[in-house]
Amino acid sequence: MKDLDERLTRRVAAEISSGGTRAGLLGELDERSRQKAIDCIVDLASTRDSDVEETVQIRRTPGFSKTRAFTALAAAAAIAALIVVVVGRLGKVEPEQKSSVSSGHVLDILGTIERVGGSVTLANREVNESTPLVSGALIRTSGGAASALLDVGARILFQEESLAHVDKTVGGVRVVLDSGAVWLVVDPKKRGREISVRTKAGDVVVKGTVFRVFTEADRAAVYVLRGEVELIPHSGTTTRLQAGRTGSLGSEKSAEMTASQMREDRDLLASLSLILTSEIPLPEDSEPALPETARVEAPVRNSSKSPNISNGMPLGSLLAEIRNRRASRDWVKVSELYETVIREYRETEAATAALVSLGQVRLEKLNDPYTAVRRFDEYLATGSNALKPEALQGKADALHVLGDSCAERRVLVEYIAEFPSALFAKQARQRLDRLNQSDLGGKACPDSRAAGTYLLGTPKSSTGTE
Amino acid sequence: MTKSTIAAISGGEPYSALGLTRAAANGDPSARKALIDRLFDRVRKTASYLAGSGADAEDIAQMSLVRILKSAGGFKGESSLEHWADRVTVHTAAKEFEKRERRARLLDAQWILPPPTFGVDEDTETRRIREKLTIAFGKLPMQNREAMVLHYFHGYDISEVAEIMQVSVNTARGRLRYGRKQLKRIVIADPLLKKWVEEQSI
Repeated sequence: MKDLDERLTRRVAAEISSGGTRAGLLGELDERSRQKAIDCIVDLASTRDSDVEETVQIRRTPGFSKTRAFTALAAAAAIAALIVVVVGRLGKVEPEQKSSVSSGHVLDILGTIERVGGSVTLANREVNESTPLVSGALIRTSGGAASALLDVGARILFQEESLAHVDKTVGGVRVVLDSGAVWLVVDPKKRGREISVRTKAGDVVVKGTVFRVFTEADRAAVYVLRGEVELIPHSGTTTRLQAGRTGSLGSEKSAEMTASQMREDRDLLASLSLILTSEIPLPEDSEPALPETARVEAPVRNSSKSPNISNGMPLGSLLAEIRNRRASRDWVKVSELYETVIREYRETEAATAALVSLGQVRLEKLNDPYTAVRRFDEYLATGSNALKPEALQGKADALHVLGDSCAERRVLVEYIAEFPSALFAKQARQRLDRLNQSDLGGKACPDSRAAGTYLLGTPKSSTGTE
Repeated sequence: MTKSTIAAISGGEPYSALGLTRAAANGDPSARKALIDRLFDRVRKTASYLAGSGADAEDIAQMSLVRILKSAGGFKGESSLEHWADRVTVHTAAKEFEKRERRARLLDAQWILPPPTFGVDEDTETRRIREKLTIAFGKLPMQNREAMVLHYFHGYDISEVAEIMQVSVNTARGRLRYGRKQLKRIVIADPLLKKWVEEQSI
């Protein structure tokens, strides 16, 4: 009996540890994040215990009475750091912040405020665009929203009448939402638990996604636009929430977003270039969706910060400029230039080829698989075969990033059928095998056809891009 | 940076760990960073086996690393640096979980490990089994889980487990025995895991 228990335990331990990384079950950090986390820990260890205690007092609000010591530790260094800046810039310190001035830690900046609408304060100071977002500082929005770009590869949109702060953690950042709502747009390639939202009812952990968290009293509602999140209530079991679904924390009642909320949010996010207007589907009883002509990709970054692209440039100059920008790895500009080629030289071979190049840049450099899929589809719709393998491969990759296994399977089948001896074909077969072995097995796909039996040349409408 | 620190950071020498911790305790910034750099993955790994893959594990890892830096002067060089770090991590986790379990009892709520984050490339069945096994492991009482992490995940023998947990060898052995029994009971109670066990021909 003892031997059986022993063997079983060893097998369980081996199975659990075999799925992990060098950090066990935690997501592995890239080198930059790892070094930042190490710096953060070294800073935290320098924090005097008295600073930590004072910060705990500041943070111990009724709704967050269970706030962990760790959050207090993280906030201690950050708030202490903030004061250094506040004193230096403004010469005035809030009473609650004075307690930790003496520790003099290095400023802990997590990102930058990008856009501000209405009155937005950070640590009780009015902010403007390009104000640094400091760890632990309270953000309060009234009369409008504000968006922030985080260094870890995410954007946060703090909606009107919200109160929150952002803490630095070992793996990334945590948005602590006291009230109101936030949208997060997270780099889909950022795996693991780098970004989370903490509410009074529980945590929402990002898996590479776009989602909204709204909290009031002791409950929170979560709507996932892209990807997947984990809902971790303070008591109870963890659940996963996938794209298009709404979930709640701290309450049995699921809080669906109303049509008007969706419409407002869609327009707000699109105006801030965080999503495409077509991405948030409106309920049937709402206003009709925007016409096709409105589906214009917004630039990933704030275009006002970039030098203008001169319209009417000769094609040769545009392509030369693209090469220069590629060499300097200015991918946002490269993307914009490709868009210009497509717009101004449509019907030319260069514009057709640019669709594939743009798709690749969007996918591989700007972490924007949605636009990438759309661009690859536009190329495939032209009927050109010159770059069809690249377009299909790029589309399969983008769908893989998006987690749309049904559409990915169809594209892989099409690729293998059309280009059986291409370099990517072997890899495509392996991926197809993996997809077929999964328990999904194609049964959950929209048309209920079994895996690997899709007809070649599946209609565009069923490829999961719309 | 002193020569001893450079030697310590470069590793390889038997006294390097002691030199590194002493330099860190004396406030040498490079040594402090090098110490955390060396133990960063190890501590996160131990914390993850004790607390799953959620924010709790990150919290424990962070608290442990901070404690390691603050108590670097207490490292005597009698064991390996990793062994000492494991001890600090286990104690940090134990304290944290003691607080949490007390609170959970007050709230009458069951604390369960969040499922781990595995790669998207893995097939769903394997991932589901791993998630369930991790959750099953997380249901074990903390003391038993600590002993099992040290013995089965890190490979310490029973006397080392006893030394790290600061209990007698018999107590450590007992915690492992009860841990194994409980784990089997939890695993067999789940139909999917029961099927998995049968397939493993254990």
